[in-house]
Order: sequence, then C-alpha cells, then structure tokens
Amino acid sequence: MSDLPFKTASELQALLRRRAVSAIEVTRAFLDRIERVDGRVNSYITVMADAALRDARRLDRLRGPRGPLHGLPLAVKDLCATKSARTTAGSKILAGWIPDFDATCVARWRGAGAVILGKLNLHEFAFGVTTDNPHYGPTRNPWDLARVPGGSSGGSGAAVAASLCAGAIGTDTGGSIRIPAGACGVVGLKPTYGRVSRFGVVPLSWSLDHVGPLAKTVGDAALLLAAMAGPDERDPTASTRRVDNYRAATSRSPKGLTIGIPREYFFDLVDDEVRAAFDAAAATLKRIGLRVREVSIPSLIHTQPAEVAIMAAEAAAYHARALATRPADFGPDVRALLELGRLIPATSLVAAQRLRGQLASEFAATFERVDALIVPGLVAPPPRIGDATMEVNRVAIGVPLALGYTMMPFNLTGLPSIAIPCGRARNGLPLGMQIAGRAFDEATIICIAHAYEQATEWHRRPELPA
Amino acid sequence: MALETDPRTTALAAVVRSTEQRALLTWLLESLNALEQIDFGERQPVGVTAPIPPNE
Repeated sequence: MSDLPFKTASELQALLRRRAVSAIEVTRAFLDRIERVDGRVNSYITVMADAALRDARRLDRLRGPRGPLHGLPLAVKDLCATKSARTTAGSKILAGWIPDFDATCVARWRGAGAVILGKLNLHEFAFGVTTDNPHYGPTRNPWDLARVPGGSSGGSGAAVAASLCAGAIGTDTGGSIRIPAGACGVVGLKPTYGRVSRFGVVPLSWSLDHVGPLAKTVGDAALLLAAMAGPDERDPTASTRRVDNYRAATSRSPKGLTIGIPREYFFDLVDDEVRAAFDAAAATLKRIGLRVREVSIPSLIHTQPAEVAIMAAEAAAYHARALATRPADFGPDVRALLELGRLIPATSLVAAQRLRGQLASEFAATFERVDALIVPGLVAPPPRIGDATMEVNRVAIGVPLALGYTMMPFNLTGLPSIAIPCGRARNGLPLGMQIAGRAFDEATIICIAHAYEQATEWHRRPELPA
Repeated sequence: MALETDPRTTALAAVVRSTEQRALLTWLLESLNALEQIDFGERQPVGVTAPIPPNE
C-alpha cells in the first residue's frame, strides 16, 4: 500500500516537482485508496478514474513549464460543473446533467496542472449541513462513521480527512466549507465574497455563496486558493482586485498583530469543551507574539434570522421553476426549506438586508482596531447521522442552527474566514476555531493560522477512517 | 404581532412536515418579527441597495 495519499499537497507538490514521483503514480495511489476505503465513507458521487489517469499521463509527458498544482490529485464538490462529467448538485433533478464546460474554479485548477479525481457528495443543492443525502446516501465522518461529516461540502471534508484526495473544492453559503472542515478536523478556507469566481457553480444563494478549498494544512489551503482566485469576466461578482501571494504569507511572522475576540454572540451557544479549546488557542496565539483584545459587534445577535431569511428567499427564487414542476424530486428537508423561502415576507427580507449593512459597518469599524478576529468553529462535535438535534452543554438544539451558528456572520458580511483544528473532544472528535479577517486580506488570516498550526499538533491526524 | 395571530403562521405551517421543522418554523417567525423591530435610528439608510454603487 502506497503512503502517498497520506502526504500533504505541499509534500506531494515537492515530490512531483523534483520528479521523485510521477503524476500517474500519485493518481493511481489515490484511486487505489478510494477503491478500498470510500465504500465506508461515501465521499464520492462520481469517481473519474479513466479521465484522471489520462490527465496524469498527459501531465507526465508535458515538456516545458509546469503549473503550481502539477500532478496533484484533487476532487471537486459536485455542485461545480465539470466538462464531460456528470454534475448532480447532490440532487435527483440534475442527476443526468453532463456539462460541456468546467466551472471557473475547476478550469483554473486544471490549468494549474491538477488531476481531478472525481465529484464529491454534498447536501442536496448545498441546502443543509449534514450531507445526509437522500439520493446518493449519507457521507460518513471518517473520525466516527456513525456521525455526519458536516455539510454541505461533507464529501469534501471527509475525502480530505480520509486521504481520498490531496485537497478539495467546497462552497460556503452559511458555513458549508468551515462546518465540514471543523467536523472532519481539516482546514477550510472561505475567502472574501468575490475572491473566487462562482461561474459554473450551481447557486444556493447568490449574495451569500463563496467558493474555496478544503485541505490538510494551512499551507495546502494557501496553495489551492492561489490557484483558483482572481477576476473572471464570466462572473460579474468576481473581484478585479489583485490576488495576494498566499504562499508567501505562510513565511511571514504574525508577531505584533492584534486579534480581537467579539464579546457578543459567538460564546452564547458554545459547548464547554469547545470553549476550553478556544481559550487554550487564544493563549497559544498570545505566546507566539500576537496581542489579543476584546471587541464589540452588537448587531451580531441578529445574524441567524437575517442569514436564514436571505438564504431561503434567494434559494426559493433560484429553484422556483423546479419547485413548481418537480416538487416530489426534492428531498423532504430541502423541499420544506424551499417552500419556507417562498413565504418569507418582503418586509423581513428588507430588514435582513438592512441588518446586513449595519453588521458590515460594525465589522469595518472593528477592523480599524484589530488585524483579525478569532472565534470558535463548530459549537460542539458533529451529531450522529439522522439526529435532528444535538446537545450543546446538555441542551438540545436543532442541528442546522447549531452547526451554522458561528459561521453565518462571515457569509452575511462576505469577510474571509479560515477554519482550523485546535483540539480534541472527550469523544476523540476534532474541535476547531476560526480566524477571520478584513475583506480581501486572506494573507493575514493565512499567516496567523499557519503560525498557530506550526506551534501546535492539532493538524496531525490518525489514519482515517478510524 | 403574536405568533398565533400572525397570518404567516398558518401559511408556513402548511409546509411543515416534522416536529423539528415546526420548531425551526417557530424560531424563524419569532426571529423575523424581532428583525423587523430593529431600530436603525440615525444610521438610515443603512443596508439599502443603491441603484448606482457609490464607487462607480
């Protein structure tokens, strides 16, 4: 059995660069592992073995300059269009869709030399947080196969944690990159709204959707984000701002930077062991030279209803035709949420948008005094598959509200946030934190996250599935 | 408006299929009511979509 799948993307990149291994060797090693392991995890909807081997052989024959992802076997959330490979969005409705184009994020990874191994499972149409998919089966958490991997990019989180790909694309509308990253003990980077093109990505909520990487380490996430970020004339919301050098940010020292901890909201619903891990992480950041101060962002308390109103209404607008003509083809939970979205009052939606503007201005004022914020990741370890509620400090909370709780402020504001591991729960599952930053300042949160990662051992995982 | 007299309660109740969804619905209605009661005060017109972006 090859040990190549257990290496980080950066380690594989170095081996490929000095031709110590070939793209075909690496690709075969991952395909073998998928064959042996994914029957238990169910992270893939479609494995593109033939296309991946063909691409790997082509890359091995390549003369001339190599791209930064040359030969790296990566995988894609099945919400992103892939040329000549079916793209289901985790749904029955799109089960037969074979696009004749790549989403921009996929095209950029391919252009940088990536080998695409396949399409990863997700919550249907990305509208949920468990990846308990009624059409393609539930994805299982590699740390505990009875538990959810989070969602909606649950296949992405599980595949990275179980070394079934070297990195993956996820999307994040209410936490859907950072929730599975936290549940599966990997790194998830939701960049600034508009930093990565959404062209070719099936929308959930246009004003909240983000595309970003899930990876084994912060350095890997920086490598993968750099290869997908930048302007795109096919996405009018994609920013034309210059893309920073994210890899260089992992070489910078964060000493002297000031991080803020919001007084409101984030700690109102957090399990004691998550709080303890977070406090220890804050102490580590102080020890490595960062200043920590408390900050106040009062409008945070209205985050959840504003997020839910906007997300449900925009999703209902996108799915209006299918909901009218094929309602029975939606899974029951997604159908109910879409029907709910049709009934959100216009007055509530306007109030939500106004709250969003106020929240953005409060965050902007905060970032005049601090360089980044640190907040908890998931409020508690992920629940068992099928559970409708989860316990947070012995109180039962609905799973969607609990898992999305700490995530949504950064969708409403569009600010970048990286989820990283920072501890283990009593039951052995990973615990995590988020580092959030100013708009388009992914480099600073990568710098801080990488320094934290270097100072701790939480990014090291046992061989999974356990 | 009280939940039981809010006309949205009846309309939304029709889409509910489980106890969990009913709990979510109740939370959402309460929250939306709270959202609509926010006093944006002197900060108006915060959060209003501008027909011409200010940096154009």
